[in-house]
Amino acid sequence: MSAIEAPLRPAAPGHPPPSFHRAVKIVRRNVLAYKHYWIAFVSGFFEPFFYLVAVGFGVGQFVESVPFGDARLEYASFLAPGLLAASTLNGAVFDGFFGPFFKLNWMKTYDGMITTPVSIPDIAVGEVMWALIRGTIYGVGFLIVMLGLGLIHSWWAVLALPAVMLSSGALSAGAMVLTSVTKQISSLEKVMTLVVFPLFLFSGTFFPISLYPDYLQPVVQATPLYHSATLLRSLTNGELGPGTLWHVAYLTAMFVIASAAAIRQMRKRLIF
Amino acid sequence: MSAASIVRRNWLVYWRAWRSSFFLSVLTPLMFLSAMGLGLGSLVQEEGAFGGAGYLKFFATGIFAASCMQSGVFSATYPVMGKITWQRNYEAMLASPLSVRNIFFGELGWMAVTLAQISIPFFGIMALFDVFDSPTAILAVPIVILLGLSCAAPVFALTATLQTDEAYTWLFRFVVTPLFLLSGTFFPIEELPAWGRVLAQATPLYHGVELVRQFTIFDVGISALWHVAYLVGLLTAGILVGVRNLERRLLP
Repeated sequence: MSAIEAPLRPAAPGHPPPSFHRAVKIVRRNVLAYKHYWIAFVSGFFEPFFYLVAVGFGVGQFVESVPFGDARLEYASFLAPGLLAASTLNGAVFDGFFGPFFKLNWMKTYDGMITTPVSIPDIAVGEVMWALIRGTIYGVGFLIVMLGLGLIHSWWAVLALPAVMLSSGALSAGAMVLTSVTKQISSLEKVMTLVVFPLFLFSGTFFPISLYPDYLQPVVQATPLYHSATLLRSLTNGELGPGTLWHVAYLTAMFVIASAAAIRQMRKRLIF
Repeated sequence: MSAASIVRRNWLVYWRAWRSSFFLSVLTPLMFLSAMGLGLGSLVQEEGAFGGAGYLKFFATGIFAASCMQSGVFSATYPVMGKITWQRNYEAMLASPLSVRNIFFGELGWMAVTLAQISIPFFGIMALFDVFDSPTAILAVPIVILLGLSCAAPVFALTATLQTDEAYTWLFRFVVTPLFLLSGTFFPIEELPAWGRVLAQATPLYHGVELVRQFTIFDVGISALWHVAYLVGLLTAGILVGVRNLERRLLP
């Protein structure tokens, strides 16, 4: 209803805030578009699982144990939450960067959308919501696998799901900012190699950051995936400390700032 | 006019962006070897498990072959489908004196060039990491090019039969990624359960990885002949089926 009534209202001064109802329309649009690609949707779950088998168990059996907080963890227990965090990064890249890139630059889907009552903030919020929903579904699947394989060691893991959602939201909003400043198709490959791949490998996903020289550790600690991986690792292994809140604060701040920036940049791209 | 003109055409297209391609093909192995070889490798306790070579060398040689497989497969998917279906380059080429056979071999030739362009910088980075023990290591480059082509030709044959790109999601998620991770790249296949070992030994990547390791960090054995025969056989089969499928697709 609100979608029909909206044009009849007098135009709000300045920029209207995003509307939940209209953002949900964007999510529903993506659900409809994805009905034909359900295989892509389901198969996304298997990627971290294959990595867990190959690296966590395949290589992991030759690794004695890894220091984390005050404890030493089996390698698979160390790696699995890292892969869970990495899967939120992958999801964010796919739904917050690749998809929106094509909609913005090639298919001009957003140009079509803004001729309706849907506004630019609605689009940005809707796309991030969609990425968050997908990330959450994958997160649930992977957490169940971890539980089945005996890689969850604490009741704190109940909070891993909201943590996955926070991480998905923060990284997707970050990815939307990236989308809004990318114009060339060749930039996709560059972003993958220069941003996504290094984050995936070096954010403490595969090995603890204590292995880095001292001057590199703060660099890694500045990356979002480090916070996401460490937060999830604390929760599934029950190794919480004051640092845990700092990870939550970092991801929350990133979510808020990146969402605002994404809306701003998208407005620049679409209207002028 | 022949297959060579197809290679030249692709070269002209590629030439516009070679700088960034080259940069990325150096950076990827550099990151992989630092993270997994040095980072994860330093956590590995039982060095003896990897044929006594140490994890860095074991992983580097495996990922070298796996990257070339991945790149070979990729080059026969979206780029080829684009030229068949979306941009219809092949239709235009067939309006010239070129034959389907020329197109197929030309594309395969170009894939070999692409593979060389990926594997040579990769090889250089591995040398910097002091991976190689033997002068026969240089042969690893032609080996991975053969591996890449052996994987590309059957995928080319598949692409020639496809109407949409939906099958590629299956191909990458359920064939390429498991091969990438489980064919002895990250850990020795002896660690797999018996059925997994048999399955792994049937894959082209396993043969490619074995060959690369024999020529770079282990000793070359008589089994090398069998590995080469497997890859050449797969390439030949891929070419035979691929040419036939592409003729069916493109000719009226």
